[in-house]
Amino acid sequence: MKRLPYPGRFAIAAAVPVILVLLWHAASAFEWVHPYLLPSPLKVARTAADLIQSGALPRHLGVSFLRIAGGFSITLLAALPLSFLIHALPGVKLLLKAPLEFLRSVPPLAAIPLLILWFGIGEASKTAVIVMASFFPVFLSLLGGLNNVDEKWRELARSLRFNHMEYIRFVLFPSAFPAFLTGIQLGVSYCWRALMGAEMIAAASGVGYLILDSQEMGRIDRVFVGIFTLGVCGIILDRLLLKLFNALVPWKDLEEDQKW
Amino acid sequence: MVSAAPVVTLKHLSKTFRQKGEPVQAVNSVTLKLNEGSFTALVGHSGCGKTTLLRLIAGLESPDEGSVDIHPAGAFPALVFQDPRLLPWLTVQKNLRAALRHRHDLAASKAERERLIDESLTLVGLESRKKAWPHELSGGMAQRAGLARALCQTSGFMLLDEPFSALDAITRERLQKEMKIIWNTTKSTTLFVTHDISEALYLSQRVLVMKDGRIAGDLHRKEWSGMASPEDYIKGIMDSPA
Ligand SMILES: Nc1ncnc2c1ncn2[C@@H]1O[C@H](COP(=O)(O)OP(=O)(O)O)[C@@H](O)[C@H]1O
Ligand SMILES: [Mg+2]
Repeated sequence: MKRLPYPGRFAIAAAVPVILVLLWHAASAFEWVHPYLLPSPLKVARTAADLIQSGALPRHLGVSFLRIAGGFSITLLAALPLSFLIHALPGVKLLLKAPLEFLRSVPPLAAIPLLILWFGIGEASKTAVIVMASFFPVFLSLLGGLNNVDEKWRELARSLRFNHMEYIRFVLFPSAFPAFLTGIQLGVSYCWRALMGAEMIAAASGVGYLILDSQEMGRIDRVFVGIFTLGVCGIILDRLLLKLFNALVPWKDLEEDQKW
Repeated sequence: MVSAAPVVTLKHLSKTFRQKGEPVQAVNSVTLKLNEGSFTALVGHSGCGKTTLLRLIAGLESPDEGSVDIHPAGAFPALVFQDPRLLPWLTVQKNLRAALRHRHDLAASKAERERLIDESLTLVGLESRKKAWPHELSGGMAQRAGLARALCQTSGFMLLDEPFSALDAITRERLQKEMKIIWNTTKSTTLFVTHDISEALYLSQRVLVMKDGRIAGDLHRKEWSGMASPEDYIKGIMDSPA
């Protein structure tokens, strides 16, 4: 498709969301659906405004962010050395491959009952869910980055007589760095999506809690606000990280592989 | 402070690759000597084994038979690849710095190394772009930076694999001129691979003609300077039936 000028592109991109909101409005205005199940967009917007004004939504969001930050830090702390060790030492790879493959195939949600038994219903089990959800995307991107150093750089390193440390510093790490950043970006988005599962565990705050609690209270408008918050913040977070990370690797366009 | 240019002696050097189970003899019993401070061009059709021979000398490939002897021992060549091969995550200047890490004679003085880097970049006309990223350079500038990286190593020993073949004609001609001036000032032992006969004749004192993995011709400047058309003579060797 030829690239349309900006206003045209914007109109097309906005068409589906606008139509959906209009349909939504019609559906609730003409009561195609029971108003309890589908509050009007206006009501949802008003609820959102209230929740923001009262500080409740920012507070839930803040709690959720902190949870993700905590869980994700653990993921990074584990994935960084592990991917390096597995890359550098074939023995470690052999040793850990089977258990890691197994863990990768277990959906974090399936582990929740066990996590609750082991870690209780406090922060620890929520963190564990987030770690489980984000570990593999981060770990696998890192490992992929380390394992896929272009032969031409290895050849250059040999021709310059680099030793191991120099190879790691000048070739291996910088070459894997873009994959590392992509891994972080992917991992954060996995965390974000796992949040709901984590906050299903007896949380008293967080966006996931807001959604579940509102459902129990019959406040479907708040459920909507919670879901929109997750979706919109997820997009914003993802874009923000991508822009930030792209600035860190001037020699490579990280967006290139993610455009669609 | 240029290191003494080494002498390179190849004896019965052979290398066979396997392609889908079939042996391909890339280099076939090559014996030759590159004199101290000489500029030798290696010409031949694509696939005749030039790159393999160069890689054997550089130690990037190990021979099946024969030996590569570099005197003084411990000297190793500065390479210029067909592509610029600058590390994309380092600026031009830092690429050159990284190349100096194992030039032990220079390890003592940082100021000396920086001076060499600046000098090499000036020599190829890139002094103003030393803070640039490789992706910001044009093809010709990047290839110049690759050349500067080899020069700053002042190893007295350079191997170049068709360094200008990917460039446009005007840039190529300019770099050929610069190459000649550079060699005249550094007098490194140089092996310059090319498939361009006129480039070989313009730059070198000696032309080796490679064919099917063997050295099929070995000409010195004083031999070809008397010829009416050295190009045709060399072409004749390249195209003669096996
Ligand atoms: N790594 C390799 N594996 C298999 N065959 C190779 C390899 N490198 C070179 N060859 C083969 O060896 C022959 C000589 O190649 P090369 O030295 O690159 O020639 P030139 O540089 O003169 O074009 C060619 O037939 C090529 O296909
Ligand atoms: Mg070649």
